[in-house]
Amino acid sequence: MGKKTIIPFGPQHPVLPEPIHLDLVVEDETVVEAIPSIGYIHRGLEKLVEKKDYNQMVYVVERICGICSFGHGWGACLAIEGAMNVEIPERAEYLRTILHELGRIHSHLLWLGLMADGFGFESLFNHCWRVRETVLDLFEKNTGGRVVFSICKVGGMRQDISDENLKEMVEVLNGIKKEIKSLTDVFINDTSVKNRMVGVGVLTKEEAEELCAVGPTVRGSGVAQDLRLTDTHGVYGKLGFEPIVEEAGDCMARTKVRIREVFQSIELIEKAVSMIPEGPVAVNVKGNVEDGAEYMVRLEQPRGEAFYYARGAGSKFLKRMRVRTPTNMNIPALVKTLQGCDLADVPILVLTIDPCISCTER
Amino acid sequence: MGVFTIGKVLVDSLFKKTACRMYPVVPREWEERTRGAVGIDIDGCVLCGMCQRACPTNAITVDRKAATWSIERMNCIQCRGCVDSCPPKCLIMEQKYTEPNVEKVIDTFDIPQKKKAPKKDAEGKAPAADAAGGDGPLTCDEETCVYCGLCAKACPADALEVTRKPEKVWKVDEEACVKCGVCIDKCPKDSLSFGGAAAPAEKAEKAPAEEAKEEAPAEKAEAAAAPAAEAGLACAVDDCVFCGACAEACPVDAIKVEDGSWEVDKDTCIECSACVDQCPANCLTMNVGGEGAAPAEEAPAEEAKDEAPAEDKKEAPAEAMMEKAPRVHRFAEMDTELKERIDGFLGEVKENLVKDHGMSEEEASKRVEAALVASRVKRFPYLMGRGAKSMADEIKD
Repeated sequence: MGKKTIIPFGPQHPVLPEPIHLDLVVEDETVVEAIPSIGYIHRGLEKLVEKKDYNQMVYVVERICGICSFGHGWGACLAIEGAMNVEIPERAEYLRTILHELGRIHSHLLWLGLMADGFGFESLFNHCWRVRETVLDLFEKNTGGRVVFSICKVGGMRQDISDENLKEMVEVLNGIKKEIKSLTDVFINDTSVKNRMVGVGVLTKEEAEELCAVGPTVRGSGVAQDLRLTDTHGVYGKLGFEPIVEEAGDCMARTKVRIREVFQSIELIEKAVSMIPEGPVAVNVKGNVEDGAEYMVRLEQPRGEAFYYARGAGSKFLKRMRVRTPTNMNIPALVKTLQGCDLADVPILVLTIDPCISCTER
Repeated sequence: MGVFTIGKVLVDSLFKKTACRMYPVVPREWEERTRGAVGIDIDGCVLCGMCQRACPTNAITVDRKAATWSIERMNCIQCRGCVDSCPPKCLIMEQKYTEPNVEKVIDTFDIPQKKKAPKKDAEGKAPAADAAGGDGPLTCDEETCVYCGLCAKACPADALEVTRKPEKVWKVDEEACVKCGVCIDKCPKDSLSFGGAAAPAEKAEKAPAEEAKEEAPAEKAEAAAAPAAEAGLACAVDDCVFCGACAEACPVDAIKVEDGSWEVDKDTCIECSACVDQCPANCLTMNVGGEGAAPAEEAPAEEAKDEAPAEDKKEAPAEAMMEKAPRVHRFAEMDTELKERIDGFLGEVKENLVKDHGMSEEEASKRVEAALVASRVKRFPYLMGRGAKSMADEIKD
């Protein structure tokens, strides 16, 4: 037994674009315990709700995160719409679902690139982001923004997306399918990648359930939990699909879940585009959220379950808006997987939960 | 064996063109929807301040006194909220970004205050402001108002309060009012105006009353000739597409539309004509106060009751008010008397132009025609109410 040493990891670290700090208690080269701490980029969203009216709040919530921006905007709209008892047109539901899935593709491709960067595979990283650029272009064409879309509003969508554009979107996505396939083959088959990921940071099914992990992290451990099927947001119920589950629970399993989800999202978009009905995309919302009216909604973000809560105050301002993001739920699982791992594997393990500290702190 | 599995991708990339663009030699391609920087068409701006309210980052400042519109470029998050909220639609998202800068820049635009061209969005307000010698507070002509509340519903600043029960009250919070003119556009009775100075308002009230009095016999004759004309709101069910737009527009929920049936509750109906304006199939007709036709007992009685005190104050003949001319919504539905009236009115305007402003006959008629095209049908009664002279003054240049 060696001497216990504490190595600080982060908040500034080459593999981390965002600030999380870990105190790693190490014995020789093995991590015995990891103590996480956050709080470097708190922005006070929940206080801001008292100063911005509910329409402006959607723009604010959207900017929590640059990667799951659409989901955040959608979640905020759903919570406020629920509290106001507004029902939105079906076409808007379809459009939201399509854009959310497009956001998932963009998020997972970004993550695959970061992961490759994390274990030092720079060219794979650049290729992943090259493909992701096509998805960003699609976003820009259809919503007007590359990263923050501002197309969701309380009551529906701010702009319609024409059927031609939707068809073109499907064509483009099918076109890049082959490229994504050849890139993800590298992740799955390359020996150097396998050496870094297979059997590293195993999270068993029991542990994942007990620690309330969410999203690809929990699905990588063999738990079939996907809010798109159990909750009622969007039109996922009509699209009919199976949650993607991998049994192994290691880094490779979590990567495989995300890779398969990219292809699943392309299929879902194709299906949704073929089923999308004609009609208006927004209803006119007037008035305020009633005093005491509240609504809670859960949404399956690319990283897992996100939770939104809104409570009205009888004025145009909300009394309370609560957002809980997937990374928040995955940190306990991360700490668990860090126990007993090699110090050199810490960056990869931190990356496999797809951490978004900006989301977590709001 | 998985060695150098990325080789295929790399070899493929050798034969593709580069994924990057040689910026800035090759310029960026803009999508139609790209949200670049916020731009403003200063001629359209009415300084209403809606953009300032919508802006989540307080980047926009509208100064009504100095007549400036300014934006702090660093604070703008390009959310497009201001563009969506702008009532005259003078804000746009330009397809360009602002130049990079080392200091925080505030772009300020001077808004030309008095617009002479009868622009679509400014017209609701500019002439009224001229007549009152400035932009006075929003006023409501209580004689024509039916207290439908559409103005209050439309008000973006929640400055209006309209109640029907227990008392009919129309109130404006002048501090909250941003003078955007949205309510004026919405008002089905054209009762609202800026300026509020007593003179134009009275003129507006008197003119139609007198005209109505003169024409009352003619109308009665017509009503007698066509006894089938139903009082209040009616729907030509044969043309009706049962879309429900009228029911949606109705401020008092008096209309019920189901597949194949259209019903109106005449007791609830306040005859505001909002539904008629909305009807896409043009199958609705509004016969205000029953026009003296037999079954119209309730409506005129109610109206007379409502309007009696107001009339006493203004000393307008109650009879004339009761026999008000039917409201015209579309030129297509205009009856012959009204056409004559309008022709007469336009003739007067032309005369005024020739006499007071020294125009040739031809030029005057051209001017009048142009003014008619520019002004919307809905606004015409308002212009007529103000008299031929003021219209001539308005369109002379």
